Amino acid sequence: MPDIAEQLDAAIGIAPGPAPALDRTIAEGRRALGRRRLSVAIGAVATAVVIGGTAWAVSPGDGGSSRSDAPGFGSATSAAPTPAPTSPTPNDLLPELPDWPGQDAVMLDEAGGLLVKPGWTVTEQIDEINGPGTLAVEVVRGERRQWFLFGKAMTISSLHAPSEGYATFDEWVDVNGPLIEGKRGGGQGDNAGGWPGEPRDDLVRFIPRFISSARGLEPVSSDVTVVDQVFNPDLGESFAPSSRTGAAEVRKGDQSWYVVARRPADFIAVATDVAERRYGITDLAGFIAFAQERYAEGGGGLL
Amino acid sequence: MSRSARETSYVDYVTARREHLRRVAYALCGDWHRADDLLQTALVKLYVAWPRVRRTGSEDAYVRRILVRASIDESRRPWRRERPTDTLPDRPAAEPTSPEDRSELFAALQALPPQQRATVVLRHWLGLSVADTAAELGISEGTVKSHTSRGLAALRGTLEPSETG
Repeated sequence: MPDIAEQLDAAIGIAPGPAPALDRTIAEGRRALGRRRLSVAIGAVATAVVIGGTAWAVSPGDGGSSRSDAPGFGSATSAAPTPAPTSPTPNDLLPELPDWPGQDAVMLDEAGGLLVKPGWTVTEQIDEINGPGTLAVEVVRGERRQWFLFGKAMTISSLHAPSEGYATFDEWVDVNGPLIEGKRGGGQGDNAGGWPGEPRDDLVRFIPRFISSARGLEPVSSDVTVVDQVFNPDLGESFAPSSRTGAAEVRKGDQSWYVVARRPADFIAVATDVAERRYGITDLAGFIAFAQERYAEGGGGLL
Repeated sequence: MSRSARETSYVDYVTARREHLRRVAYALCGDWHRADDLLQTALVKLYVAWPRVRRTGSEDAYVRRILVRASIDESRRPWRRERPTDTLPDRPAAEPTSPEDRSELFAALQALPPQQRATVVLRHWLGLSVADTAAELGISEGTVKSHTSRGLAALRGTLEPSETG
C-alpha cells in the first residue's frame, strides 16, 4: 500500500508538456544580473576599480574621486589566503604591516598574498570565487566594513559596505564576482549588462583655469578632435556636482568616443559604435541622457 | 570560473533538475502554467546567485525556497487569494490511488493554506526533516509540526487510512 509520499507523488503527476526553453531563462538571468549591478542607490556605495596598478574611484562619496598611484608594498609581509569559506581571521594574528595610501583596507602583494591594514579584521574570505587567482574578502574595523573582489588584472571594491543596493557580502559577491575576470571597456560585448565605459586619459582634459577663462574640455593632443561637448552636464550627484563635470564626443584617428569627465582628472569613455550598437545612442545628447540614467541608478555608472 | 563555465554548470544543473522542480512548483501552486512561471522566477534568481549557491551545494534548497516564497506571495494577491476550508469531506479510501483519487488528493492539497501546503509537500513528499523544512520555510520547528499535523488531518479523507493513522 503506497505511503504518503508515494500517494502525493502520484497525485502531483508529471508535467503535461515540455518545460519552457532554457534559453529564455538564461537571457532573463543575464538581464537580471545586469539590472542587479546597477541597482545600488545613489551615493550609497563607493566602488573602486583598480586596473593595471591604477585606482579609479567611481563614487565621489568616498572622497577618492580621482585616480591615484598604486601603493608600493615592497617590504610588506603577506598573509596567505585560506580555503573558502574561512572563519574570521583576527588581524592581530597577522604580522605587522606597513600602511598605504587610500582607504582600501586590503590589497594583494605581488605573490597574491593578502595584505590587511592594521586594525582591520578579515570576516569572510572566499578563494577562487571566479576561478584560479580570484578572491573575495570582507573586512571590518569597528563600524566600518569593506568588500573586495580581486582578479588577475582588476579589483572591485565597496569601501562603505553594506551599500543600500547590496545588503550582504554574499549578495554583492553574487553579482560582482563574475565580473572580475571580464575585460572592461566597451568592445567586449558583455551580455550580462556590464559597464560600457573605460578610463581614458589620452582623449580630452579640462581646460586649465590658470591658463584660460574658457571652460570645457580640450583635446589632449593634436590628433584628437572634440566634435561636440556640453559643459557642466547634470549627470547626478553620484557622479559629481554639475559644476565639476563635462561631456564630449571626441574623435581620434578613425575611432570616436563619448566621454564623461569629472574634475580634476577623471575621464570615462564609451566608444560611439558600442554606444549605438548596445544602447541605440546616436549623439552626445543621447549619451548624456544615458549616462544620467546610469548614474541615477548608482553603482558603477559607466564603469 | 569563467562566465561560460558558470553558465555551463548552471545549464547542467537546471537541465538535470528542471522536471523535478517543475513538479515542486506545481505541487505548491496547483497549475502547470503558473508552475512554469514560478520556476522561471526561481531559476532567474538562481542564475544571479549561482556561484554562491553552487559553492554551498544547496541548489535544490535555494530553488525550493524561492518557489515557496513566490507561491505564497502570489496566493496573497487579491485575485489569487484562495479560500481554504478547515474541513474536507471524509471519505473511506481503501482503494489504491486511482486517477480519480489522485485528483481528489491533489485538490485537497491545493485547498490547504499555502504554508500548510508547502509544509506537507516538503515534509511528506520530498521527505525533508522537520529542521530542514523549518529552515527552508523560515518558520520554527514547532510551526512545521503543527502545520504538518493540520495539513495531514485535512487530507485524511483522500489519503489511504492505513497511512494516515
